[in-house]
Amino acid sequence: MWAADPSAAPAAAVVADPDGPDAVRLTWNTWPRSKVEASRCVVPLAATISPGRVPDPSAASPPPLPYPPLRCKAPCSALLNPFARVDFAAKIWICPFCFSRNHFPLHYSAISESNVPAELFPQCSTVEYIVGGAGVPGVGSSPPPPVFLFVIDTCVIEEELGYVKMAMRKATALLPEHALVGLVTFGTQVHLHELGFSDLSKIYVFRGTKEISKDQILDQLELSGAGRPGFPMMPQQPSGPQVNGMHPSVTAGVNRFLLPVSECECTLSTLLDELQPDQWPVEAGNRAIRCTGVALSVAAGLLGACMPGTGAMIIALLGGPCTEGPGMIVSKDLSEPVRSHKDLDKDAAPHFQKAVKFYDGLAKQLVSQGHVLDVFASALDQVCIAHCLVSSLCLHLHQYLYFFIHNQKRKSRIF
Amino acid sequence: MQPPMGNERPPPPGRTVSAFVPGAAVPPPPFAAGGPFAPPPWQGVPPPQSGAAAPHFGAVPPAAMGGFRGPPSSQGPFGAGTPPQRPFTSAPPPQSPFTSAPPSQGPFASAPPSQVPFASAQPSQSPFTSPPQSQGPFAAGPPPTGPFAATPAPFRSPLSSLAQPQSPTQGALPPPPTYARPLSQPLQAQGYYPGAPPSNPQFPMSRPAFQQPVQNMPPPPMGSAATFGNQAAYQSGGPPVGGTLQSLVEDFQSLSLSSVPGSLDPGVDVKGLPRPLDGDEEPVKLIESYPFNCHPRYFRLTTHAIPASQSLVSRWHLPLGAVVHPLAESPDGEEVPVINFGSAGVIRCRRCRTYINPYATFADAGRKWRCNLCTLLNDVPGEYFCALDASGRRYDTDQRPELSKGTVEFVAPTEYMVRPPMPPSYFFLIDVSVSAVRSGLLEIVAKTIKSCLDELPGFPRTQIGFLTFDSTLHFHNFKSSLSQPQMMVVADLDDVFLPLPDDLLVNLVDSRHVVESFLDSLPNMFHDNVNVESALGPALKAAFMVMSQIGGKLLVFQSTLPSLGIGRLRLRGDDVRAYGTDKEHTLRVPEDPFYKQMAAEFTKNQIAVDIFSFSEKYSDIASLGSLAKYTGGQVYHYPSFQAPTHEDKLKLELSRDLTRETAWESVMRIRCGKGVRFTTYHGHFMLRSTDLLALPAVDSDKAFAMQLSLEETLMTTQTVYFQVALLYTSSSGERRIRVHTAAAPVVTDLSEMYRQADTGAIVSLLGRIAVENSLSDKLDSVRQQLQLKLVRSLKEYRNLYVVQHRIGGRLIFPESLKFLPLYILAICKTLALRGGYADVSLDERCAAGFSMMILPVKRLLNFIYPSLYRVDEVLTMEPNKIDGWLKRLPLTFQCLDTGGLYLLDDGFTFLVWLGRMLPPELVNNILGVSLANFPDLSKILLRECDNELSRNFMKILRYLREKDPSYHQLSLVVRQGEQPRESYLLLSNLVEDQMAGTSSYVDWIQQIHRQTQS
Repeated sequence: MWAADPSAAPAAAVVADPDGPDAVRLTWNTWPRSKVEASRCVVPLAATISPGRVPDPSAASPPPLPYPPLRCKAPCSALLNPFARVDFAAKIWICPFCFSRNHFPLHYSAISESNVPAELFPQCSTVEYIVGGAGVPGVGSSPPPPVFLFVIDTCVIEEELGYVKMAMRKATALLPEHALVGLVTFGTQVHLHELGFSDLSKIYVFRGTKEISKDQILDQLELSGAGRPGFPMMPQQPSGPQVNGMHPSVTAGVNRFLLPVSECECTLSTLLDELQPDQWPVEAGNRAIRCTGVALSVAAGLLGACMPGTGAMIIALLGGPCTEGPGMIVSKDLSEPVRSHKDLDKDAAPHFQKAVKFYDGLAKQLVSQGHVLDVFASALDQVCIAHCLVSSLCLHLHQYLYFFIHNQKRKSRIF
Repeated sequence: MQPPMGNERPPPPGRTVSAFVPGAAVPPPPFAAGGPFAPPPWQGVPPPQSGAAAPHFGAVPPAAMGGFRGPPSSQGPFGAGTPPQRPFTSAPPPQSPFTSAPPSQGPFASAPPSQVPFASAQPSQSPFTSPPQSQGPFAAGPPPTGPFAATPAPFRSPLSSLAQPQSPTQGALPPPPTYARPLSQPLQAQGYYPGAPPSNPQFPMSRPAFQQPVQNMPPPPMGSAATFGNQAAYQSGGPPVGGTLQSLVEDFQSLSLSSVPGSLDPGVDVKGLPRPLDGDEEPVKLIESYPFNCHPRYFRLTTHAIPASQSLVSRWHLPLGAVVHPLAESPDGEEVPVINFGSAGVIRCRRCRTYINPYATFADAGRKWRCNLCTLLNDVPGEYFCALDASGRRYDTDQRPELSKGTVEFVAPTEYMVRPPMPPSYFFLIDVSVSAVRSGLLEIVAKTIKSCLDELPGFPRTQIGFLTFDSTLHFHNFKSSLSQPQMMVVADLDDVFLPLPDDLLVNLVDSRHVVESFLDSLPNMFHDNVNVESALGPALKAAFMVMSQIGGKLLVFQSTLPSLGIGRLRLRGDDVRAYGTDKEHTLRVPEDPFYKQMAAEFTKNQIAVDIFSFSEKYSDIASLGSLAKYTGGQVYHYPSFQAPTHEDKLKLELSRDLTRETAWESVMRIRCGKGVRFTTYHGHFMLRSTDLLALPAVDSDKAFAMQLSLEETLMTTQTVYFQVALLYTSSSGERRIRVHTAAAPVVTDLSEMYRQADTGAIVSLLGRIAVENSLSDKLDSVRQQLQLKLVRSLKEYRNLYVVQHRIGGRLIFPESLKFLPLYILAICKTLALRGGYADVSLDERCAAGFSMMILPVKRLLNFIYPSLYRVDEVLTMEPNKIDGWLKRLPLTFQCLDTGGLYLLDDGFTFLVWLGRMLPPELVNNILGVSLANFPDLSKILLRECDNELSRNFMKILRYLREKDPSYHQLSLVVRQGEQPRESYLLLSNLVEDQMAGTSSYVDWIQQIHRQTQS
């Protein structure tokens, strides 16, 4: 949509936005009066919502509000909005969702019919709040930097890997200098690159065949809070302002595996130069040995240790199905085809249940950590349009990152 | 069998026949000569005459004249040895004079060794000044020369034929004149035979001979020894004339000890006690008797005389066995010849698989050859055929080293390979925990390895790889396309795996730049490491996975007691309660079976492990050392390693380890002739079957010991043959077989076994057995067993002579074993077996034990009885004469002058002892510091300073080090009275001095003496 040319702009201005200013689109614009009427509607009663959509610049939306929103009492917790009825004299507002009566707090004491806060304006059906820092407008601490942990599949042919490297270079060039970057490469085994080790290339290796828990990953990376027996107990760091919004205990990990682009650009470039297709031999008639499951586990574990509760994303570039270890969806033997919908329907996919369980667990972990996993998949298995897909992969990665970075420039939102 | 045997013997009998012809004519004359000789000395019956004749013959050697006859006469008995076969059959009467010849061999054989106690020459000057007493034996000398003059006559021809090979052997100036005299003797004898007066010509002859010793240093000591012996004999048996004459024929050595228990007078001349101040003496004389035997540097029997019966074995209380040093370095000009049989294939006996050797004989006009070990007649391949000369010898014998030399090397054809020859492969396992970082170890190791890259054997096939470890394993990717290596960390210690299928062990030529980059950055890489743990067990598993495809040498550098993962060890070296109890030995054996199991895996995959241990705390060498023990490796121990102090030692020993000649994927077997076999082996190897030693790697510094036993109650052969065969892959990728062959006579006489005993080999075997016993018994028990063996041996020896001779209160022993009592005392006091808990740390004790299991004879003897030199008197001499003036001193405090500077060298350590009254300027010049400032001598580094004394001093150290490059001595300095360092470093090495709980040499001798008499 960003490719729209100027000639389209006037047309857009003329035609009313079908999603409306709130980015909510209903199948019906009226509500049925009775159950009988609702059941007669063949088209279901539904809505699509795009909460993160960038508002149309032409819309008259207010600037972000520099104070926390006012909420209805528990358990409703709805926010003050234009549809609430207000008793200005008694300083009470009635929630339109649960009809509870709520008293305005003291800092709303100045409210009156002639002095109404922005969130009560009838036309302000969509507003944003700035909630960071101590709550003082304009004095919030700087937000933590964005984190990008790349997970690259090396079980691909040399040519494809070359394209991936190219895409990676463009991608890192797009990242802001303070963005933290990490690198995991995998094939038969998982290689977590310690970008902070400046003497030479240093990689932590994890076995591809073995399911590994988050705690085990932390142990092996020496990132456990309990401390590793190999190291004498470090003196307790003085409690003070959190550096860069992160706890001191994870700073070490960040400095080892996740580095600002400005600091690891060279290292990353060298690593990409030396990146090779997976060296482990593949028997004739077999698929490549790819341990996607463990790779994602390691990535999730690392982010869980270093960036809990902070915005971070895993970007996985996959070249085929997982054939080894947890999350395996198809065996290495090429004589076994990748499952189809029919197989799933008949419950005839031998690895499906286990894989689903594994990936569900991973998803839950990521959710609890507040992290995102994006997958760029280009499966060439039994497909023969390689070049087209590879080019498409580059293009999509490029556009996607551009979009994300642009979006990231705005303040984070709760909704 | 006899007829074929007779046919097979044509070659040697052929020569003998030519020699025998004059012998056949001569026998009557000597007997006739004996006739007229008999009446004057004895008026007794004829039987005493024959008995007396031999003693008289033997009496001559004790005299100074005997020294001159020793070398030539030693050939006589050999020549006489063969004829007895035929004379016995055809001429019974001549048997009588011939049987007297062998016994006389002993005294002659002892003549050269008697030159050894040169250090005691000065003390002997005192007895030398009593010529009147020494003239006594000379007065009796003339008569015994009668039979001697007659006896050599029949062998004049063989003597002259052997003269040529003998003179080159002598080489020195004095020996030729000595040899010339015997030639004149027969002439005189012949002159005497016509009827000239017997005493007149002999007496003048003996006088010039006596004066000769005055000009030559070597002879006097023997003379003094004889005088000493004769004095004792005279005192104890003087009155009876017959007794006096009998005592003159004693062919043993003896010490006069007080027979009164508790006497204040020790009755022993301390300075006269035998001491091996010239170090080990290889029995090269054997080569003269057995010219086809391999050189003793490769193979030494504990006694070069195999007992003919089980009953004889039971009376030999010392070990019966051999020490093998298969890859001993040969001097320039004596390189081992390499033979390629080509299409003929390796010539071996098809039954016992013995390789063809000089002792094999050819038959059927050269179409067949008889194996000397099992006597099977084998076919000679057409390509190997050669006609025989009249004596049955191949015409091409001299052109074929395998037929004329005791040591050869064969190029092995493909049937001797189970896989293509492996490239030399070096994998380094390096501890990078905090103690390794702080001691400076990483820097020295990295620098040393880098400096050796050009000298690693096997270019361009050499493989190399590294793995570092602390609480995790750090693999390193040396792929040749990388600009610098990649470190790949595996933290999963419970399930070790390889992070790469290749490039962990790489070709050195291809990945040279990556390896160098790694070595350059290794110290910095871990500069900030504060990890205190060691995951050595998992690291060993990883190393095994990397190396198992190829094999090679694994060098483990360990600084912290293994604490994580499999194979972790606990502190157990401080358990003092165990000493003296039945559980004492458990401290000296591996605690965890992991290490022995790992060693078995390593050996199976042709991986040898060398352990370099550096910790300042307990490292459990007992456990780690078993990796080296069962894989043919080695243990190097640097307690409390610090870079400044230990740098040179580590650097040179590591360089030596990496660059010395090494045999890869080897197996060694020692074959014996009929009737004997090797039953136990002692050293670093894995025993694969009853007689096959598996050696993933063996090098020029390793020796092995083994014990023999008789398979038959009675030996049926006259000679036993031994053949050592080492099948290996050379560093250049060639499969080879190194073969050492030796022969030894079978004897029925126990005294002959004593006469042929090799103290060096005996001590090496005893030392190894003692170390092994310490793994299953208390140290005290081990020492007692050693002493018991010595006592039984000497008691048995005493019994040989107690009937015929008046021994009285003397301790007697054969010349060949005169140093044995002292060496056994030294073994009891060496680091491995010394004292108890407080005397030696457990790690040091175990490390010393592992070293003793592999040291060649010469090095082992110097380790247990170190060399002590006075240095300050040599420093002012001309530099090019230093080696001539360095004299070893007895290991006793009485030899230390408080104004002197002394150097003690056991091969591993140089200890510089500063006498209290040493001039300060001398100390300043050598040490570079003044003692007035009370410096910490434990931190002194001996460096060359800018003055003559310092340069000469360092020259002495270099000279001593170059004598044996297999180890590098760590230099330590201690001052007189500086405790406790002086006690630990010096006094405990003074073997002859009494220390807490141990005997002095004098006490020891008296103790042994009392026990041999009981």
